[in-house]
Amino acid sequence: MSIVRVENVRLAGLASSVPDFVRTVDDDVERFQSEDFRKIGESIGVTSRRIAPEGVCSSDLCVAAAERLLDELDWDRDSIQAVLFVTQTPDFRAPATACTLQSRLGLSTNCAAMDINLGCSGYVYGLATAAQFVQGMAGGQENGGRVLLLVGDTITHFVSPDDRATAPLFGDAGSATALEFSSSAEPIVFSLGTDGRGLNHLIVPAGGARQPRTEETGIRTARESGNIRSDEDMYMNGAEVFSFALQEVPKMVRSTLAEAGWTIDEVDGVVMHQSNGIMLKHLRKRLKVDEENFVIALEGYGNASCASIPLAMTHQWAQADPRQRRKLVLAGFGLGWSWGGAAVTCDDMVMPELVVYETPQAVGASAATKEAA
Amino acid sequence: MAQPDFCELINELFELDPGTATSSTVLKEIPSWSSLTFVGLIAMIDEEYGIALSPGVIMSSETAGDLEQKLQEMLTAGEAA
Repeated sequence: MSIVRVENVRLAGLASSVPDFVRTVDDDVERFQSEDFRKIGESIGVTSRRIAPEGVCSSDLCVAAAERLLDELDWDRDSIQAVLFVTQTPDFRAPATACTLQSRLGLSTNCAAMDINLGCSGYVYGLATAAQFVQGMAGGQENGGRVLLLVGDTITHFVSPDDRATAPLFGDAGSATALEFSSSAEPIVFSLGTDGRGLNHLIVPAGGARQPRTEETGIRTARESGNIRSDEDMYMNGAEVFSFALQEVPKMVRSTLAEAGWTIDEVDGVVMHQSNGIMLKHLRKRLKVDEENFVIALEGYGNASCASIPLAMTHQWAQADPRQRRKLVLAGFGLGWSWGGAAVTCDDMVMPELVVYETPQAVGASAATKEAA
Repeated sequence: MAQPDFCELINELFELDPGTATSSTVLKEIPSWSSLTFVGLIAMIDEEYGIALSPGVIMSSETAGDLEQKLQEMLTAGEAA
């Protein structure tokens, strides 16, 4: 695995946001005309989830989180030297959404901006990139090299409502993490890996340059097990994802711990990508993590793609002494296949309560009309 | 490691009465067979046998006995390696 070690970088704060629309297992029962969805919801640990209406972008959710975080941190916006945006649901095919975020957030034009296209592993890769920016930009200056990492997806916009493998599982969320130079920060260690052979098990096949959009790619038809979706929707083979996770995640966590010189017993919290309840419970047992140190935050949110790790952190600690010092292991894994582990010591972090993004009335009304049609 | 009784594990996983599944039970004909129990089966095999199985191995096993035999072969190959 590729090991990245970053010194003198601290996580100053983290905020997460979810849209105000909720979809529940009752909606699934009605849509699929099957009571089975109650049991499915219970097994995967999701009986309701947050959905961004059409017209609400992942960048909107991230801006809401970032505004809240910057207010609480009381950071001068001119002090931010880079804004990174991790997403698979950018505002435009071009340009990079991060450029628009620089001006939307009122950041200086001396600010670097770039998008990173990754899913379930994206938060860890985003942190690894952001932390290295801080290190390179700070010039050893205390509280220098400030970087804003925005991570979010409206992945449900790629989910067919009639695909039982994905519809009951996914939700939308955004997040903002603030990093800066600190000579007293513990090192952050990352362990990263990739296996591109997993491509076809978790994919939105059409809409890129490889298979451009056509009239046909947008048509939803019956596929395996009667699931209905188009080539512009996400396909997920849950069994293949699980098998991949079993092979790579325990290895990745062990490698992360070993590189950090930690044992699993001294870790205060393991936060994995919130894939689904069955998988998380199994991985917890397999890695022998105590239940109270293993974060599960699926209920009420769903699998929020790249935003699931920060969302789980907000869920777990925003109301319970967020400033406390904690040794955390973060573990992202999924489409690509792509995976990344991080050993990070959080200390005196600003962590506002979950931000609920209010859909502007005009957007909500137009989305409701489309849904009814 | 003591060898678990594979058919009993199948009974537990699929919520069947003890003794229901035999080595000739066709996996896909088990009433509660679904994509979720499929995932549960991968988890159970990982837990009991320490093998992270590729779904293809299950797909290509018609009966519980076929699957158990493949697991045994993997365990033997693992010991030899």
